[in-house]
Amino acid sequence: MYPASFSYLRAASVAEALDVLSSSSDDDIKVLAGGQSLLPMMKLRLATPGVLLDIGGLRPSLGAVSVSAGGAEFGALATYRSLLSDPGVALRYPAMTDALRVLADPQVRARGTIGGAVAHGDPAADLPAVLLALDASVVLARSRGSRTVALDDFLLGAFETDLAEDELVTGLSLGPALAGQAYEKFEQPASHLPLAGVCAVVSLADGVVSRARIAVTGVAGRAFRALAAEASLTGQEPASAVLAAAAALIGEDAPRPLADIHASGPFRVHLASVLSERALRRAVSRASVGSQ
Amino acid sequence: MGVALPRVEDAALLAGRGRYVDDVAEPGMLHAFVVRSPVAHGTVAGLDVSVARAAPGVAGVFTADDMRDVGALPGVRGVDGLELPLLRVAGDKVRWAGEPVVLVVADTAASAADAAELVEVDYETLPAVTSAEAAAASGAPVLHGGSGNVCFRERLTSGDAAGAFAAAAHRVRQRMVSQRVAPVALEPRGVLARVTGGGGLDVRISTQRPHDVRRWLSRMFGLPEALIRVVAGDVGGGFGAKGPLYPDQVAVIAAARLLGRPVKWIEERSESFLATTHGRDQTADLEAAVTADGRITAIRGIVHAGLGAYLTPNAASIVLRRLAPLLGQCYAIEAIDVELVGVLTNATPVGPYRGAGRPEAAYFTERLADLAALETGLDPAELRRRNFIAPDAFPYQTPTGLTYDSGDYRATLDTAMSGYREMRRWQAVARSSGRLAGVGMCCFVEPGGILPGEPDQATVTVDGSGKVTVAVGTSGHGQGHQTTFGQLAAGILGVPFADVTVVFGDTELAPFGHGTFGSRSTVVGGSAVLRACEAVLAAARRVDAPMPLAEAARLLGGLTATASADVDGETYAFGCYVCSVEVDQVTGRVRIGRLIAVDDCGVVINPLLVDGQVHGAVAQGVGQALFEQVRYDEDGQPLTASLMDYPMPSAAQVPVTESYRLETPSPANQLGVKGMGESGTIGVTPAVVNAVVDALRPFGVRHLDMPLTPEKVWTAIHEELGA
Repeated sequence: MYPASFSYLRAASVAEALDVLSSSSDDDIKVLAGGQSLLPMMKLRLATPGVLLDIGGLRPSLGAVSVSAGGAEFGALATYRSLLSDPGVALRYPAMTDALRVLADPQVRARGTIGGAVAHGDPAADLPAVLLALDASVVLARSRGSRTVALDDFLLGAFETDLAEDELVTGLSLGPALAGQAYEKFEQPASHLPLAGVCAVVSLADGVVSRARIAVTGVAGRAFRALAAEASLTGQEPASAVLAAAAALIGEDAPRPLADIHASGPFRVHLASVLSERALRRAVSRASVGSQ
Repeated sequence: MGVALPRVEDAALLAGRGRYVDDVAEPGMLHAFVVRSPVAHGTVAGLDVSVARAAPGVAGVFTADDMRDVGALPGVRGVDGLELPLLRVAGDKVRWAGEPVVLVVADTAASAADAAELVEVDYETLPAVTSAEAAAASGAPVLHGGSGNVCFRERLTSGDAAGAFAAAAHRVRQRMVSQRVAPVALEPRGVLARVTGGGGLDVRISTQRPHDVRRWLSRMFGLPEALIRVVAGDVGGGFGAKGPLYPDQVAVIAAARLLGRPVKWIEERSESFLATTHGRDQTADLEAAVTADGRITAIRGIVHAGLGAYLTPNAASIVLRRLAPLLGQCYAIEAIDVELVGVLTNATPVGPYRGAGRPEAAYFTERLADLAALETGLDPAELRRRNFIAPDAFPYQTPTGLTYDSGDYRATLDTAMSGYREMRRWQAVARSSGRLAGVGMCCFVEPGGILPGEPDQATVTVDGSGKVTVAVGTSGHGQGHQTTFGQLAAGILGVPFADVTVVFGDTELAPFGHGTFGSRSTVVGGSAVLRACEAVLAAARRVDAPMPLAEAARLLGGLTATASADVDGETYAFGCYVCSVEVDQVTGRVRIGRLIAVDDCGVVINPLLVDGQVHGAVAQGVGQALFEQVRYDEDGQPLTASLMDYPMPSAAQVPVTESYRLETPSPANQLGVKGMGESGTIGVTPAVVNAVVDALRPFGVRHLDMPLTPEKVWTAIHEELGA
């Protein structure tokens, strides 16, 4: 449990952090935010960065949570706990709150950050499913300028993202909230990460589904949108049979599901279908309440 | 006696004021790191420690060549060639992933870990085998040479099993696995060794058996016991796995002697999954002969026990002296014919783990009992009732050579019955609405109070101020020695509980004893405390006039007495556990509803501590039933070497236990007490599995192997639905 030696830098400003990232010739530099994934990997020597750039001191500039009718901006260093206790998040993005409630434990929620969750690219993290379903974009900064990338384009594969070596995730940006949202999770019993996690976001108009977004985590190399299931819902009345039929299509978008000692690929897909149906039911019920 | 005093030891432990091995530092102390084999089976083709020796901060890098003067680890009498060596040199074989190869000692733990990466070992990998049955088959990779991997093959027979089967109206047969699990104590193993001025040893070690460690070290290092002090201090759980002495610990002690400086080693969590003994790993193919009216007359079959890569001192007796003779459990079964095969495999050695043969026996027999109930159409409770040993048959000699001291098995079942009937009514309602509900039961015995050699002692001292010190040779590591023995001594001596201090776990301060394992402390340690207290009271009577003990002690300049335990054989606690479960048909997830635990462990000194033992053991038993399994891939690589992959149950996954207690005193000791620290792991595991199988009866499921993971349960349902 002793990490290999590394040098440690603590950034005093975002500009300084970006400077370090752009000027470093060291390609084994790692950014330390909440440390809830990186530090355990370092202790097991699965990660052996030469330089650790600690941005934990930048919370005043990167920790803000701002939610309005028009959307939301989450600073990369917003912790799970701060998001969980934010009334705006609870009001407009209840699927986030669903997920944060079942994410890890109080200690991890106190330190883990949303930027870290996205940058780490863990295929079994909870939040990527929620953020994908909520149509989030990732805000990336480098010393010369910044860019915004749709999360769907940012996530590449297991622990692989579009983050360049000289870039820093500075925040997440969400569009206006849709009425019906829910997140459902089935835990891996040891890590408590999802064997499957599904977020459903549904809006209803004139009694039919006007828009549906379903995203799944834990089942494939990265969180993904269940496009076939989504398409099957659009324009339909949200009857039980319709929701069940949509949920049965989850596997269409997971051709090569993950398999390990905790669950086979087919079982993961099965769980994702079950959870999709449950999430859709709750999302529809919340949407119905919201539209009254 | 019998009062539910809260544990006096907990405040300090919960507030972080415990003192474990890692809390102790010695001046000039060095830190060790163990380089372990990454391959499950192979030959060390090359070993070069020169770069590591030159690394910053390194004080020494040790191989087997440096340990030649150290004697063999305590082994098993009559089994040659299986001694576990401390370390390795080029040319040696390695037999499990995690076997110690080289020890690196440096000025900090981090520099030792860094230097360990510079140790160069070339392995020629050999095919590996981790399943006992596969390892016993011809053509399997052979670990130790000779005639193969079968370490022992014995047959336990009693009565006319063949006749019983020929006459049986029914036969039920099932292959059942009590899977390999890891004990996972909160505090991993650790040791801190220091050479004393007189050439002796001062050893702090996380152990259940400090006096036995002193004896073993005396033999291994050729030092008189008087020159060795072994201190356990606070020990954060052991569950049996801190009973043995391990090669890595002895190598650290040897390194301290070679370097002349204190050396500390603390096992890492992931390392613990590889290097600390595992439990269970038995596959049974057993058959029961059952009469038309539901009496089980015989059990026969074969049990394959995976031993891991070496035979640890207790591994054979777990199978031969516990599991097999206990197959009769609470029942008057007349005949038994069981073949017991112990097989070496390329896996972490197996050792005692909470129950050590007892849970396996109860699991196999109680699964068979449910199958017999199914076959005969009897309710599982009724089938058990028909087979119980009668209350007037005690002391009862089992056909397998055990003497059950006392028991009233019907009484525990009767106590559970109202809850059982409630659960059956709940089940009927749940089933009628399409839910998968099940009820399961387990009746069991738990032998405790083992005496492995000369009796344990206790020393009771009353000082001039009337304060009492009780020093015992059993060695608590969570059991609550301070509270139990304090309460016991206060009761016998007639002094306030607050005036009694209990000392143990230090060979200099406590009298001889074998430590704490096998549910022995209250039986053996308690008996010694009783006798020492009686001796003190007798001595106090030497004063002319009757007077309070404190006054007599003041007049006599203090009173002290040491006495040995006086016990007449082992005790057999028993119980009946009943639980209800509900299975989610679409995900296969099992949820335990109610759990009723009826325990009879004879006279109870502190009911709160008995409850605590039940709760902790229930957590571990539920863990085996639903979650835990040590797994290897086909190359013998461990797949569950961290808490991210090895699922320990959390508080949310452990049911609330409804505890009931009966008290049938043991005639085997003066206190009438029985050991019961393992009852929960024995009782709850079969109850949960029986309940899940019962829940799945609508699908025709007869048996499922543990752990009952959602996918396994879901697959069983859907295979049946698809068929």
